Amino acid sequence: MPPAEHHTKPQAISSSSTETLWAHRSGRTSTALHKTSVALQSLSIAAGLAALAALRLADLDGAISAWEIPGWVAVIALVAGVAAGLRRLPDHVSYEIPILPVLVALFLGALMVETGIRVLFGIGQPFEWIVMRSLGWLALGMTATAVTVPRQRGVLGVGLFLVVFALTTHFLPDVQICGSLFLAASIGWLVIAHAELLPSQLSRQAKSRQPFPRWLGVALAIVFPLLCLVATGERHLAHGLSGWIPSSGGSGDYDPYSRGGIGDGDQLVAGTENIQSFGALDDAPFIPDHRPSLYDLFDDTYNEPVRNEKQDRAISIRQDPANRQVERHLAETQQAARQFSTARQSRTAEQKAVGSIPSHALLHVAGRVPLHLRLEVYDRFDGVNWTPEAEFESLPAPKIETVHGKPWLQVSLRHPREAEVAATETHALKIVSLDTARIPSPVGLRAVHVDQIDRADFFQPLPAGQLAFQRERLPELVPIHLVSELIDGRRVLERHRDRFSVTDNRLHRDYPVGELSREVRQLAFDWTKDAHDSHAQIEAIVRRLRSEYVLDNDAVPPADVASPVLHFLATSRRGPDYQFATSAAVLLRTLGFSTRFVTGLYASPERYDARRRHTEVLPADVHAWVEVYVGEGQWLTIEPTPGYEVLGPPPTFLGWIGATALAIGKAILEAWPLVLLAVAIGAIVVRLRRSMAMWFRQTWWMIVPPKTAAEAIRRTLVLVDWRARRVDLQRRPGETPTQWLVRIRQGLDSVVEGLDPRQLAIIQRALYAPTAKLNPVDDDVRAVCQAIARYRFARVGRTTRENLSSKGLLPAVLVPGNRRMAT
Amino acid sequence: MATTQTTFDRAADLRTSIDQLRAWLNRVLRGKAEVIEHVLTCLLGRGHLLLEDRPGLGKTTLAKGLAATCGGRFARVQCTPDLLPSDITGFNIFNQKSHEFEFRRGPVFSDVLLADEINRATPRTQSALLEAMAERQVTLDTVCYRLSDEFFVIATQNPLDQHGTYPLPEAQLDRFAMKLSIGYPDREDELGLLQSSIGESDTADVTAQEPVLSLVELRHLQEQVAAVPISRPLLEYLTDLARFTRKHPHISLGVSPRGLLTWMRMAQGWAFLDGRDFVTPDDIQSVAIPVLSVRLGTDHDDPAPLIREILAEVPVPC
Repeated sequence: MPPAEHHTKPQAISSSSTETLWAHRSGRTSTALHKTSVALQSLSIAAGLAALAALRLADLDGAISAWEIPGWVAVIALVAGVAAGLRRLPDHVSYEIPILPVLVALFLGALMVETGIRVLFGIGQPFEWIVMRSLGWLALGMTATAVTVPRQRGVLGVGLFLVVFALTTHFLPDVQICGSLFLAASIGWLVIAHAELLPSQLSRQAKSRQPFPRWLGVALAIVFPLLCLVATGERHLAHGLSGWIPSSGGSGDYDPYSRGGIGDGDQLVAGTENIQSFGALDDAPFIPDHRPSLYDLFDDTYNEPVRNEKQDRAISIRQDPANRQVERHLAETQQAARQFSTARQSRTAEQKAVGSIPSHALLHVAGRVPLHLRLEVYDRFDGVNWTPEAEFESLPAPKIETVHGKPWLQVSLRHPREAEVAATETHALKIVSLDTARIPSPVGLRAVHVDQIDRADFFQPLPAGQLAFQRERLPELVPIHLVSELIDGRRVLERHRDRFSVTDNRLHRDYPVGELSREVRQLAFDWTKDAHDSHAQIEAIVRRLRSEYVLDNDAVPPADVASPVLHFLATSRRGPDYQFATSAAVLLRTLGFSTRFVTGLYASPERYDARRRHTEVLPADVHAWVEVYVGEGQWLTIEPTPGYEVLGPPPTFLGWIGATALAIGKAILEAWPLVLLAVAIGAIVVRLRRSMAMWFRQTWWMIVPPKTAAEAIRRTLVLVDWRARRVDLQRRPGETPTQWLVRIRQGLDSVVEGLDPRQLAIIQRALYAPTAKLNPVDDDVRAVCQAIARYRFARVGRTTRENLSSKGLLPAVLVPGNRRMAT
Repeated sequence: MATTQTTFDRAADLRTSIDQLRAWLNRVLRGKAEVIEHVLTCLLGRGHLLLEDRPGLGKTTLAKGLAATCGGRFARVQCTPDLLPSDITGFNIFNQKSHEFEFRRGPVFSDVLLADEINRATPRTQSALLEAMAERQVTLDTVCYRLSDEFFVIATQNPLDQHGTYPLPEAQLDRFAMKLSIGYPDREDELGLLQSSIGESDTADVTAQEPVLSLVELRHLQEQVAAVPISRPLLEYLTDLARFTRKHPHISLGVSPRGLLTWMRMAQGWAFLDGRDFVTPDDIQSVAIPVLSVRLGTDHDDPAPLIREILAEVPVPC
């Protein structure tokens, strides 16, 4: 309910003609109720049809069939027929036709049909297309029934939306042509409408309207910059807030009907510009390269296919999906040796160039990080060297099982008890450049899936739960999906009475006797004397190492040191990550744990790319850590190196909300000058919005000369009406200009003089004399315009404003004033 | 050139006459300038007038004064429940000498007819006035008699809650251009009234005033009023107003096209009286209450607030 109407509000108004009522309420009778000229309606129809055509063309995506032509003829005939029919009806009849329900029915009907198709037939359209088609139907209905100005405005508004959508979706020339037609028709409509509607402009200005609540402005001023920050912001922020809208594939929230995109979508976007745009996706690009591809593709395109010089094992696949030729050069990277020595040379200053590829990444990981990807597991430690000596147990051959239509290799290991599993993790790897056949995988690997590979003999099980490809090296840029189970050490302890079990293999418990063992054992006992269970012991040792020792990759023990580990633990207290891992492994072994030393790659959360939802793993992420046996074939990752973390259980919903809030807070703190600036600008814009609008109007009033006296007066009245709005003294719908000018005198600044009766008479003559349209702007009119334009209103508080409003309660209908009083 | 000058002089003369008329009426009815403006508007717009008020407020005085100043024939009918239609229109009487029926003219064959307390007459009698008011003619026994071109009815009525009254049918009401209430005068005006009547004999009559306007002049004025131009946006405004009354939930009978025509004429008259040669929305609004209150069918006793509401709702063109 418009508050300005409290004094004239009718008690009730029948609902027989809602639109009429609405039009009266909003004071737009003259434009809302009258049919526009044929030219205006034709232009709005043209604009509506152009927008629909643009949408349709974008929808068809170039696949135009012959059936389109009769379809369009029918649509145009329908629109023209309905429009002509409505024009022939008298005004009051055409307004009472319930058009709004028809439009709503069109919109909802289209929405339901599309949804129904999705449910019934299982074929679906992306969410945005369903919405846009429904909007298209709505626009069709609006186009056909747009006889009045507000409805035609609606057509242009919806049409603009459709055209923008079509243009941003498809860069087809025909869509662009339709968009241009729409623009041309819209501009034409605006021009003609401006000319036709100028006389009623003041009436529209005078409509009472809901004032823009100030608190909403302030809230917007704060929320909008925040939203901008979130939308464009870094890493976790965008990650935390994504997923609210059905995804078109790129955000990782998978919707089977969405269009393809980067990330978890159905299709790969070729990373021709930037290798990071490779998501972990299930179709492989077919790279002309000297190295063998995983897929043996018969390429029957016109050009001779590039033959690999070397052949590796390959699996035959169908011709689809369309292959993408991507020119790339891959760099060779070195891989871990079979032996790992803790005695190393110091780092040379010269860094090895990885190659000329745009990415230095070895691989990309999709899924939760931090992640320890194991490449090599070492069992025996002789005081200096770690050696992998686990016996090749007779591992049962892995089996392929089809899950959701996809072949998964089940790695046959003993499964942990359900209660001890903290989480089942899924990760996807995309190898960029890793010269090994071993699949880097987290501990507790359960299943592996590589698109199209449905034969178990492509994989080779390795000891320590590892898996390798039965070929020379891992296939590049082919996503490898991994499922692993994360063990919760505390839950294991609950069952094992505070002690982890040990392995049958003594190798995992052996440590070299001698000085090393004595010192280390002493340290271990010292550090863990307050710990009462296995978990606490491990935690104590890890805590000590992480807090009291310094990670220094360049720290190398002197050449004459017999035991680098002892030197690290007792003397230097600084060293690279393998010293931390070795120390932890040996310390735990002296306490009776079964441990092993693992090298591999560490997917760091710091490298997590929130937009692409994956983590780069660089050569610098080569890392060493420890695994502890917890019993029943399960190993637990231990991270003694400071700065590295172990993957914890997934956060709860509340935890997620908290983390997101924290991330937002952090982002605000980090970018506080920007946020402050944005808030300040927003606040200033909200605060001064009227002044700025006023300034533009004033400038327009001053610069553009009016052609007739009527136009001059009208424009001046609009100007003052706009000003008066700020003190709630705007012209009311049923108020004549003279009544209004007399009424607002009380709100004027004291320095401004009101108009005298002669000036009021000039205004009336200019506006209402039959020749008003022809009267030129003479000096009188100019003087009156300037007098009105001098109207300035005292800024008043709310209470005073209400008083003013209540004073001018009655329009001066029945007050003939002091005229014609006879003597 | 000479013709223009003459026309100008004549127009100036007419304006003087109107001012004299206004002055005289203001003297007859003290402190009621606004009512008198409306009465004059009604006269110039060729509309009939209905005065509704309590007894003794000067309704009859006003009517008689108006008739006298216009210089036309004045007739008066005191309506009572036993008044017959022929008492108003006239009747045929058999002439013994000529052995023919002769038409004996009733009071309607005058220039100003005062139908006093019209709602005391029976509906049948009231209806007799219908044709006279609408078409300015009387049909009796298939013979049609023209009335004066300036035929102007001033009817008075007591408020309906008084005893022994018959409400006027809507068809009759629509023939009136305006309904006015005179209302009690102010204290000062009442005092002046008393003072001025000291020494005046009771026989002193308001009709003693010399006519200030001849019938020809009046007709000329009426023609001028009808010719006052009105711009198209204002015609649309009038139409919007009328349509709004028809859709209003509290109005059972909206403005008829005849009522709308009357409204426009009254607005023209108001503009003319204001000395303008064009109509403004202020004119339309100024005559709205008397014009609409006679013809809107509402459930309210006083339709004025409703009419103000309508005027406030419908946007004024600018």
